[in-house]
Formats: sequence, C-alpha cells, structure tokens
Amino acid sequence: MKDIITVIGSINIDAIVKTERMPERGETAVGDEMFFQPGGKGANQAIALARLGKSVNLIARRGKDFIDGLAMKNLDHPNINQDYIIYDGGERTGVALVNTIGKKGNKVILYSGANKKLSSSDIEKAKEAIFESKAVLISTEINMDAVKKAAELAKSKEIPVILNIAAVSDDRREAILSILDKVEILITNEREGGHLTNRVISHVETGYVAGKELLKKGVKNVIVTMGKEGALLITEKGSEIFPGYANVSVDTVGAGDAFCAALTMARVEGMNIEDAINMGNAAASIATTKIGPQDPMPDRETLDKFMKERGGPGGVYKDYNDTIKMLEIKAQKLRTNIIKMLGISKSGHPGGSLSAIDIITVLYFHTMKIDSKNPLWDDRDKFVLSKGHASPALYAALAERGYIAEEELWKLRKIDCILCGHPDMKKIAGVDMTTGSLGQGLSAANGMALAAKLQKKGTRVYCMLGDGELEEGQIWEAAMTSYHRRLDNICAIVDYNGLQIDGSIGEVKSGVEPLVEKWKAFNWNVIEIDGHNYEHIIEAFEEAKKVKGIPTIIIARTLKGKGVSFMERHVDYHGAPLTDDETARAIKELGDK
Amino acid sequence: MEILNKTHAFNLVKWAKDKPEVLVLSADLKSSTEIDEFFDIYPDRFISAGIAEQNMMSFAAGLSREGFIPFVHTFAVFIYRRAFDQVAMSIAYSNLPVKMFGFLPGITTPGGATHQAIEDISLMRALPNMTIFECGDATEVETILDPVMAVKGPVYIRMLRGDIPRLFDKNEPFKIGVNRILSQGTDIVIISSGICTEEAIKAVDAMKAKGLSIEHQHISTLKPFNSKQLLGPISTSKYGVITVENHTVIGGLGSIVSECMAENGLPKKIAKLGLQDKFAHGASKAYLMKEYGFDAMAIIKQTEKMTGMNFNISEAELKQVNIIPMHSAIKAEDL
Repeated sequence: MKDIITVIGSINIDAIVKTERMPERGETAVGDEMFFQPGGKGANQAIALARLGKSVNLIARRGKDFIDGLAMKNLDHPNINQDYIIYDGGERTGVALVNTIGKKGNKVILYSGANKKLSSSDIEKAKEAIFESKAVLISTEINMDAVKKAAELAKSKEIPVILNIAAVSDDRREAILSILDKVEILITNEREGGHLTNRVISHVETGYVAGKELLKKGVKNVIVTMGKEGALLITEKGSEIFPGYANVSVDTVGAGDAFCAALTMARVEGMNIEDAINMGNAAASIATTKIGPQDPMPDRETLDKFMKERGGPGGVYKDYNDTIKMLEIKAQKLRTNIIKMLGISKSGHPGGSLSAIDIITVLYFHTMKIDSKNPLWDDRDKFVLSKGHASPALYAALAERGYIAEEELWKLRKIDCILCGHPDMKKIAGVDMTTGSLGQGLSAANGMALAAKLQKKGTRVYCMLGDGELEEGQIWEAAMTSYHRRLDNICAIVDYNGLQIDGSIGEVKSGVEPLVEKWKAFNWNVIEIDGHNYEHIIEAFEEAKKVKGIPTIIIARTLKGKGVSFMERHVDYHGAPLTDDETARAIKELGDK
Repeated sequence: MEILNKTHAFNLVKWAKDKPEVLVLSADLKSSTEIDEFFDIYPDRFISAGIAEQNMMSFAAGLSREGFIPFVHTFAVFIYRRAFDQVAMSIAYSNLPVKMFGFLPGITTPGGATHQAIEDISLMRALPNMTIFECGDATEVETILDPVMAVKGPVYIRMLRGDIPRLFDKNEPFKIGVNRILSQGTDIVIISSGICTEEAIKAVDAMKAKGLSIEHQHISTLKPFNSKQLLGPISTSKYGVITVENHTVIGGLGSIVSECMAENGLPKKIAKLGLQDKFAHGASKAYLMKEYGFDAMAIIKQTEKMTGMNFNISEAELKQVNIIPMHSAIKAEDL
C-alpha cells in the first residue's frame, strides 16, 4: 500500500497577470498575458504529492467556480481521495489575484471564499483520514480553527505535522503561534515568516533570528524558503543554507507548494531533513519553469532525473563564459591575499572583506573605467569604500590591478606602511576617498558625482556600503541628496551580509530592514542580487548604467566570511585577528578550490 | 562709527565672479547666512544641501576632492557640534580645501544655547590641518575671502552677519597670522578677538585717558597662532595680561595665550574674560556681554583689579567713545 498523506488547505482559482514590474500605489502596471488556472495551496500540494506517487487525502472546501469546473480540473487524479473535499453551494471558490513578475517573484491578493468556512467540525469528521496518514501537510490559507484542530488530532497520534505558513495577518498570527508545539516542520517564505514573527526577513541571518524565535514556541524544524537562493533550515543545532537549483525561471507561483510537497514525500520515505530540503529545492526549481502553480509540478521520474542530471544544487550560469571564469580565478586569489595579509598583520577585518570581495573583483576587473598606469586619469570611474574596514579587499584588488606593489600587502597596519587599517587617499594611489568612520562615504561619493556632472565628465562613482552602516543617519541624508541632485552617475552597493559586530542585524537593529523598500522610498532605482554570483553582479552594474534620472543601489545579499568555511556566517570573524593556524587552514582551503 | 549691513552677502558676490571653482553650500539657511544674493546671481554654483549638515560636510569633501572649493555656510554650531566627525574625518584628515563659514559665534544670537557657538574654537583647533579665522569687523568680513582661499587645506571661519561696525581701516585687509596692534603700552596687555575687540577699544580708550599705558592687540588668526607680536609686550608688561573672547574661556583665545606664555616662560598673571564654563541665556548681544562679564566695563573692572587702580569710569563715558576706523600701530611689513 502506498504511503498516505493528508493535505489540508485551500482550493482557489488563480487569476494571473504577468507584468514587467509590480504596480506601486496609484499606479497601473500593464500585463500582456492573463491566465486563469486552478490553484490554492491545498490543491497545489495535493496534486504535487499525487504526481510524486503518494496517496493523498485532501481536506478542503470549495464553492461555485466563476469558471465552471476549473478549480477541480487537476484534482481528478487517481492518487487523490476527494471524499473530504466539501462542496458549499452558498459560497464562491476562493480566488487568488496573482501579479507575477516572472523570476523576480509575485504578489497575491486572496479572496478566501469557501476556504474560510472549513471548520473544526469538518476536520473532526475527517479524522480517519488524518489517522491513516504518515504525515499531515497543512497550509494556513484556511480558517485557523480547522488548522488548529487538524494539528491537535495529528499530534494526538504522533503523526508528524508539516505546517506551511501563508496569509499571515494580525488576527491569525497568535493562532498560528499557539499551535507550533504540535508542529514537526514549519515552512515559510521570507515575507510570511516575517509577518509571523513581526520581523523583516530578507537575508539568511535575519531568517535565522526569526527561526530561533519560532523554535522557542515548540516547533522542531523551521525552514525559511529564500527564493532561488534556496532554503534556510533552523534547528536547535543552528542554521544551515541549502542552495537552490539554478533554472530558467518563468513564474515562481507554486514553487513553494512544490517544495512543501517534495519535502513531505521525502520525509515520509524516511529521508533526513537535509536530503528532504534538497529534494524540495529541486521540485521548486522545476515548478518555476512554466506559468501557473499546477501544470509544472513534476512527477517522481522527472524529479529524480532532474536531481541525477544536476548532481547537486547550484548550477551553471546562464552565460558561463571566459569573463566569469577569469573573475572567479581573480576573486580566489584576492581572497587568499586578504587572508595572508591579515594573517601577517594580526589585526584587521576578514569577515566583511570576504563578503565584499566578489563585488570588488567585478568592479576592478570588469566594470570600472580605470587605468592603473594612470591612476589620476581625469575621466576614470571612482570607487568609495564607505565600509572602510573592508580595506583588505580593496587593497588586494589594487595590488592585483597594479596600483600598488604586492609587497605592500604584507605590511598592512605596520609602522611605515601605506596600507593603514582604513583607506587613506593621501597615502595610496587608487584610493579615491578616505573612509573608515562609517556613514560618510556616500556623501563624499555624491560630491564626487556632482563634481563630475558639473565638469561634464562621464565618470561613474561606485560606493560600497555595509548593511550595519545603514544604521548611521548620515546615509539617509546622503540618500536624499543623491536623488535631489538626480545623480544617476552614482551606483551604491550594499554588502548585505546580515552580520555586524554585536550580532545579526536582526538582533542589533532590526529596523534597518527592509532595505529594498527603504531605498525605493528614497526614490532610488533598486536592484537585488546574490552578491557572490558574478552574472548577477555584472548584470546589475550594466543595468545601473542604463538608468537615467535617479541613482541606483544594488542590494547584494552576501555571506560574511564567504569562501572560508569556518569563517562563513560567523560574526566572531568580523574583526578578530587570525591565528597562524587559522591563516594556514584558510589558505589551504582556498588553494584547494 | 560706520555700521555696514549685509557685508558678506555683497562682498561674496563680487569676489566670486571670476572664481568658477567656488561653490556655495547651504543647509537651509540661505538668507540667515547672507548667501541669498549669491544664489540669485550664481544659481548653478549654489548647492542646497537641506537640513543635513553631516552629509553636507562629507559632500563638500567629495566636491573639493574633485577640484571645487566648497564654501559651506551654516550656523557655527551645526558645523562643529552636529558634524564634528565628518569635519574631522572627511575634511581635516583628508586635508581637503573645504571652507566652513560658521555664523552666530558665541552670544551673537538671542536664540540661546542651542544656537550659540561657545566652544567651537576649543574643538576645531584640536583638529590637525585645521585653520581658524575670526572676523572682528566689517573690514575683516570684506577682506577675509582671499586669505581663506590662500590656505591650502580646510578653514573654519567665525563669521559675522547683519549690522557690523567698521573698526579697522578698510585699506588694511585681513592678513593671516598678523595681529592688529591697536595700542602700544607697558602697564597691561589686552588681547581681544571677534566682537570683543569693539568693547576692548572702548575700554582701552577710556583707561588711556586716565593715564594707563596699554598694549592692545586684536587677533583674527586663532590657528595657526602667531605669538611673535605678543611675546615682547607680555614680557615687559607691568601687571600682566587680559584676554577677552566671545567664547568659553576653556580652550579659546585665553587658553591659547596662556599656553604661549607658559611655553615661552613668561611668568605673568593672566585673566581670561569670556564665558566662565557655562551655557549662556538667550538675550541681546549687549546684555549677554555684560551679564557674562566680557564687555568694556568688565575689562575695566578686571584691569582695576590687576593694577590696584580705580579709574572711576562710568557707563555714560564708555558710551561716548567714538570709534573711528583704526590703523594698526605696526604694519605687517615691519615685522
């Protein structure tokens, strides 16, 4: 007999319009295509599990469809038991108004319709379905009384509950939190997880902080899905990132449901949580390749084949070429030099240098118009490292580019050195602005950018900010100035590594998030990227060059200590001196790559 | 006494005509810092930085780094109190030619402690690379811009606005590091700066009439401080030194002169008139100078105390002192 899994959740009809971008308040975004598709988290997850070969009891409510028969179209599957789907002729089937912007995500407005009528007595009547299951997968787009009842019933028989968070609102938050002691695995995306914990999650580090709070409510495993960057698992042991599978993504609607279904299947089959997440990531990746939630759901054969062919998460760049290969090699060398110089100086900041180095590599070896033989070239582009403590990253790039002799690197922070702890433009050819006291670099970059405009030069000014640095008020004074002067020759980059000296930005000053919305509110063009993906970085800088009339900021999600396993995501390596042993281990690891 | 109005406003416009590299920055205090005329005539060289002084300082650093000479205009307190780190790190450490015009020095505003720059000299002179000037009259306001430009690095100016008396001959311009010797004598040395010089002139005039021999020097370059002209008169003074400043006596002119005396081994008594380690009330300039003891009468009282004399000078007599633009007793070229 097949494993039985009970799915409890919504049945909807998705009205999907694909637009170039999300409309802002007072704005109409125009889309070329419209799709009416069957959807709803309960239905999507049931269909995904059925295709993956499991027997599914779906407990849900539907009403009259505004397009007859559409909601149930894909639910007519031999593996799906429809006995517990209640038809309510006095209600409408739920409708989700979905605005998708392709690979960059979607926004949903939900009319719950019949879903909100699913009651605890409906669940009570279906308890045999729950009791015969190996796992219960519940999503919260439905009446919370039903969710609560289902979790209690499953828990009473020690049947694992997998809870997928959706449609969190102020009045539902407490109800969801109150049942977490009955939940084995909680799965949420960044946004919903943020609502649930009254936090903003837009980075793995803030996801970790939110996850730890949820663990305190009794749930055993928290998984925060972070789009194509993968999933973050938070348990008592800590947190771990599971990168996603790169894919040509068309529409992200349904990807989360594919993730939940594949993970649930894997758990029922006895896989450990790590492997189950990996499987979920693979299914989610496949689910983004077609429009709509249900059509792209893979069957088991497709999923297994996909995973076998890929051999593991990640994947080749869309356009993996010689430039990217060259940048990878450069960055690896610069990482090694950062470690070497810090190992010799026994003082300085490794964590934030390693998080920034991929972006700095692209700037100095691809994007910026510079000439190391003529460092004072009048029309050159300029770079202001506002987070001046990441100076080892800048120094390594300057040496590799030929501005300074490599020997200088080994004299970092020594008496008579030119490479001080923080960049000094009076001492170092190629340093465009003296920095180190956080918060000042963007203002200076604005001055340089305005000067270029007044002098009618084509100079672009790049300015790298730390995420913690955004807590400085002066940054926001500067942000207003960049817009006020319409400095479209400014391109700022946030090295968003999520950690600062005292801990995660979620703990030290959570108000700094959300970054994207803040910069948008300051009238900046905002581009979000993975700050360790060269293709992303290159494309972002090219896009920024094309934007006229407003300044651009690139929010680059990075990892502190990236590239050295024992430093990655460890705040202790913000500014800790490296021991000889740590230096040797790090250099060996980098050399082995 | 000649009183001039909006001296800086008109002078700046004339002076900046052939200097396209000079940009004027304002933090929402256009008319309050007399740059409205400049804005009207050179709108493209006027930069409105908004009420965001920290940004304005680093922004100015960025502009100056590219060859412009930013003339930052705001109230002095918003330069050194609000944005000290930016002044120190973006400007002074980088030694960039940002020129900071600080208005409302000391008690020249009825606005009270929030707007009275009473410890700016103490702080700004502690910064390496920083030059500090202070204007004492209309002639200095009119002639300070060339010296400001002549300094390669950053300059902080205690600037005057509105109605300003002309104390010094208009043909004797502001000279960097040169004191104006307004009276020569051997009994006592009076050293004044800024708006206090007008008061000192009145007091010196009245006391000289009573037979006292007074050395009076006006200081307009507070840093780098040139002590050469002072050392001789101080060493030969019979009763010692009185400094008079529109500033706290901790770290300002009185401290500077004290340091010079100690460093040069001049064992004379010094009295420092100015704000005695306290924040001031908001009131008229005349009231506050009297209240806090650095007006003409306070200088006389202090002199009486140090000399043991009694000049019997009334307020009415002081009021009658007619100040005509003075020549410096020693020309710069004599030094």
